[in-house]
Amino acid sequence: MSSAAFSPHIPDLDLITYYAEKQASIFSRVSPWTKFGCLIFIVLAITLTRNLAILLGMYLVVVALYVLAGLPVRKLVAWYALPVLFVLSLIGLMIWSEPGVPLASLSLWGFSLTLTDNGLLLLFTLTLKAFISVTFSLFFLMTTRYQHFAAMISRIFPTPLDQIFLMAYRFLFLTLAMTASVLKAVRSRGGGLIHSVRMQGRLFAGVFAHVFIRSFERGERVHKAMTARGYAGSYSSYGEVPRPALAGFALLIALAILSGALVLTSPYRGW
Amino acid sequence: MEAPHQHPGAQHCPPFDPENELIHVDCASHVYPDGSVGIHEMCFSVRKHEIVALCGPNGSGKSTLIEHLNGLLRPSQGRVWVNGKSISEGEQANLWKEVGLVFQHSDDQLFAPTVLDDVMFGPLNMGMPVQEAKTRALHALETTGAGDLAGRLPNYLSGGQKRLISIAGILAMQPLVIAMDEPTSDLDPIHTAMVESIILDLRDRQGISVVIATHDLDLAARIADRVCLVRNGAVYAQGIPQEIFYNPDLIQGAGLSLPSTVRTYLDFCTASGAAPVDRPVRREELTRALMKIRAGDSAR
Repeated sequence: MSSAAFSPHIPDLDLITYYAEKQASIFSRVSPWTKFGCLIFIVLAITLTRNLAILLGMYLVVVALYVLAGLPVRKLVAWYALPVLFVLSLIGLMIWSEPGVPLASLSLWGFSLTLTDNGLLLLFTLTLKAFISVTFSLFFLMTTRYQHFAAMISRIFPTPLDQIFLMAYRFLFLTLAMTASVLKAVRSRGGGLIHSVRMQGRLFAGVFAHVFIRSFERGERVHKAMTARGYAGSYSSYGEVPRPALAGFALLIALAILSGALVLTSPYRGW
Repeated sequence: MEAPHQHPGAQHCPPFDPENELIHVDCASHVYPDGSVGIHEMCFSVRKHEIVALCGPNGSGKSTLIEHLNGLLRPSQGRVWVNGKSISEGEQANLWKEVGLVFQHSDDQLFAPTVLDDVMFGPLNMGMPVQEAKTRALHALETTGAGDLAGRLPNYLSGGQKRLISIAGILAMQPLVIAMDEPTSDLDPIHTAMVESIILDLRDRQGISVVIATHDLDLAARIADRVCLVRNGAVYAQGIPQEIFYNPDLIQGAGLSLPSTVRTYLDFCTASGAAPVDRPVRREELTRALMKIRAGDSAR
């Protein structure tokens, strides 16, 4: 069962896997190492820069890649809810204390909160950074086969960390499927996520605790079925991860040079 | 074929016959960590090229027994022989290569992102090269009639399709015996017929012995060569279907109900006053037996 069954704002892992395995876009043929190199560069770049023009440019590029890959844009917009919530929870209070030109103020119980231009800029910049990383991460996941992903993880992380990472990723599928089936059962008897929490909070908390216990139980059954087919603690990923093409190598070298330049010109340099 | 044989106590397990038996369970017991008894002094065997139905109600020990056949569980007491190799508590053996296990719930078995990845999982664990594993997986999928599903995602398949993939995942390892836990439970009639046909095909064309754990005696009546009734963790009675199913006391004692063909035949005999001499178990046998009774009535 897909996680979309309980919220359109939670990335649907089944759909992500579907696009990854369909291999329909031209970017599916690009070496996963090239895409991984780009991901590293993007994470580095959004960490080091706070130039709005650069960030906007990067965002346009990653969205263009996402669209060109034929990935679902409406879903992406719905999935942005989580990064927005993350950013708001992180700096929701900070934006009111940023020095700068006041734009609006709010008085509450004797306290006065002022939103400044710098506060708004901070919110906008961090949201943009979150969107860039989320969009490109989804692009990477949705254009890279699981077997390639697994092989890369095995190369990057030592055993048993790689196995823990891979199994934890698959366990997410189980937990989301279990959550979706519980919510379906709740809805089938007139309940709802917000409604049930409000009306039967204690019961609902118990139900969710139960979801995790059931997920662990199901995880054990899956492990048993894997053991029955010879699994002994090491997932055999197969298939060679394609090496970057010449253009891919050139791109990676260019990105490495760019990264160096970003480090040297970063406003955070010297921290 | 043998007459039904009841085991009042498992100390009387028949001796291991390595010439004809692929699996021999000799007085095996298993106690779970919470103290509950899974199987108790169980005697059971699987011969070459046969379909054995392990029939019993829920909690009778069927699933515990088939997990012993694959090595997932080891007996606390007694021994399990698989293809001449003996395992007992603590001993290691790669039984999964010899005995494939198809789980009751396909969702527990299918975990890989694509159908092909999942079916290749077993062969790759056997150390097979990727290309050979792929060829085997595709062949197994073709055999189960699911060749067109190779590139699909298991989560988007129907229950029936998932069951076919689960079977293919085991078939790709080319085991000597395949044990299936409730292979047709929660399947529609079309997929039930497909699974039955696969099981018969495994025995007839590939020479693979099949163990099915089920409480559905109609299924056992349709395809089993031998029936073992399981009760309270032990084999209560075993024999050919005609002998077992025409003994209502045995069936009732095992907490089960007669297969519909047998019930229909016995009801018809009672209603028509005919003696139940033919013992039909399969549908075609029932038709023949009923025609015979009708022909007899017409002649009178």
